[in-house]
Amino acid sequence: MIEGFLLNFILAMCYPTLVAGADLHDIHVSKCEIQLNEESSSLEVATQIYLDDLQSILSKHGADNLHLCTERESKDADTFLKAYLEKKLQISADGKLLSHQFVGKEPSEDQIAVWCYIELKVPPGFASLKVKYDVLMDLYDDQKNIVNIKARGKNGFMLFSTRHFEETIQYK
Amino acid sequence: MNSEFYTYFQLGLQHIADLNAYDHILFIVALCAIYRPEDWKKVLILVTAFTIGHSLTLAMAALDLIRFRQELIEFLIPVTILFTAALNLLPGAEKSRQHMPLWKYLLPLVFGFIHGMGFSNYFKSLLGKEESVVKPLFAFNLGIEAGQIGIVVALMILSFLVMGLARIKQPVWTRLVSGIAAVMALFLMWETKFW
Repeated sequence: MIEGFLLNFILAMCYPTLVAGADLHDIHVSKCEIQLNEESSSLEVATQIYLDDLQSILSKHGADNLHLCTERESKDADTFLKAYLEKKLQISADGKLLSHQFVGKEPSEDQIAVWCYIELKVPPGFASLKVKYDVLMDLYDDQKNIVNIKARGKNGFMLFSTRHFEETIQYK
Repeated sequence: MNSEFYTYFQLGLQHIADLNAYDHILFIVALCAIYRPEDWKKVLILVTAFTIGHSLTLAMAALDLIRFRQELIEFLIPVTILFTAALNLLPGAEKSRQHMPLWKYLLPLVFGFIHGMGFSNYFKSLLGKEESVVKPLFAFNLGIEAGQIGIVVALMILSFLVMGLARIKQPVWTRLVSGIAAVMALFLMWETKFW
């Protein structure tokens, strides 16, 4: 009797998980590498984003059928991508937001992701950098973004989630 | 800012705890359902064998030494869960749980191979452009192991509470938990069938 009750109870608890089962193995991670080039005083950024996720979110922002990284790629693809990245990757030096210079993009070796390259001019004597990186967090609750930042001999990692997606690093 | 090691450790830990990837949790539950807190040493070895198994295939896939059909792997993962749960349900399984022939340890190792292949696309995407694979891989797997041990401890506490409060005996509890795991595995097999 109690066994039957428990079984029903536990099955009822499992139900939402069962329904969500279609998401099995979907992976929601993006990686961003930032490196300071002291000579040109700029931050060189390489960021990797899954193509299918990126298309989904861009189409939510009104950019349908971009066909990113294919022969049929829309002319406006880079414009939309650039605008999205400007919102989702923000780096400030001593409180001042740095502006993006979109360098280009290329598909990853396995063709499931895209690498985007961005350069940001930074004042040479900066004392702190604030990094915000929340790409795709507007698409998935469980999106995780890894940021690796190398500057002035420091090599650090940050793991961002929807609850925590910006951090300030002191360089003085 | 953290170290690379800590970041990937955390990622492994969170990946295990993630309910969207509950097939992993389910396997651990099925693997441990028949054991009692006093069997903790056996459980630790079983879980570690599983971790070693999936660390190996994950590493090989991340280094691009092996490739496989992802849809086949996604189907095989619930098969390993069903098989493990079914073993708990065999007549006499409860009585012979203290008897540990080698195959009982080899099974999670081999099943670990399959689960590791399920992780590999995930992991490949985490690697940067030029960094070494070894350190993040090691940290990620260690995080997964820690997460799995956490699941075992949680399961043990839960079974202790349920058995104490609802006065259910261990054999009944084992069958109940294994039965649920088996049903969920069947459901996953249905969802991931690739033919």
